[in-house]
Amino acid sequence: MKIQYLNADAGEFEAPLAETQARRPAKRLDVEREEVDKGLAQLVLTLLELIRQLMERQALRRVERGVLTAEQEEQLGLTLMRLDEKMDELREIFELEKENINLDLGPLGNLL
Amino acid sequence: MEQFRRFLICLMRSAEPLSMNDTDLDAQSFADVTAITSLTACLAAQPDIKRVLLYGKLVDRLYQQFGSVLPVRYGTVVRDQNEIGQLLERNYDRIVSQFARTEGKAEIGVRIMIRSTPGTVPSVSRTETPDDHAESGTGRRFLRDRLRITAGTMDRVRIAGDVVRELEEVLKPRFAERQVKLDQVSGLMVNAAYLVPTALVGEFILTVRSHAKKRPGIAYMISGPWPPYSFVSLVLE
Repeated sequence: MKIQYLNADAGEFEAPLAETQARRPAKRLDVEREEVDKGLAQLVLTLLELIRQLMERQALRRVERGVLTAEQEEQLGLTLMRLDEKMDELREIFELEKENINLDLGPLGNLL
Repeated sequence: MEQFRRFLICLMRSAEPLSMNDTDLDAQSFADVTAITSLTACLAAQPDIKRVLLYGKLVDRLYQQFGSVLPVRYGTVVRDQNEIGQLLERNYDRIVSQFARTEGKAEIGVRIMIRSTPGTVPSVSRTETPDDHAESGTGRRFLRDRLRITAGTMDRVRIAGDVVRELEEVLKPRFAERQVKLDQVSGLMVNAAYLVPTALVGEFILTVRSHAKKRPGIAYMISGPWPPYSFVSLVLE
């Protein structure tokens, strides 16, 4: 036996496996001269995305606990939305896909 | 000019020195450990799917032929036979302890797909409140949407955790070690590797099959037996 599918066929795993493969982030920065800027931008954007996600999770926890007024929720939501849009813009500037914004931490899995 | 170097493929253990009939492969031993190398320059170049598959095929073939194999990280290159000898001697104790851990065992991969399509998995999503539908601005809508997405993901993570726990409860006596990772894809995929004693591989697979029958809404993919790729953490110094 090499591969067996249970409750599924090969086709069902094809797309997610390809997605996983494509999302696998680099373990090392590319230090080729023309790529070094992009590599650094990728690293900086990954750290920014980590901070953005932490802020968003904190905000969502507060919304769930119901400790914010409607006005505060609106303000917080708008801020996070703009931050999200800004991240998309930065990714476009550095020609990075969403999947590239991550770091492979080896046995610990991906950072994001 | 490109340097002509050797690509280190894997390590094997045998009381007798091993020799390779394959003209492309060379074997060099130190004590009871043998390094298998290739002079094929293309193997040592930048990895791509084709080259990694070729490397995988070679390791798999040696594993099928000789049984006990420690794959070396793809892209490990040595200058010459002399350097291989030194590497084996310097790292001998660590190599032997890795063999002790993996010898007589095979890696079996189990991928479990928690589908994202509604209805295929019992959902326990966050209960909507009347406030969710109350008139709200762009910011609030953004937050509510994010909450719904997060709740859906948390559901799948919880279900994946339950499925893995159930599966491992029945598999427990049949594997020595395991590595489990979650992959966020369209749905959620549990990517697990189990180190299974060779004699128990058949039983292990039958157990996964009978577990899958009890979880018809969840997709499983079993693969192997493979050399113990996920359980070898050997960096040769």
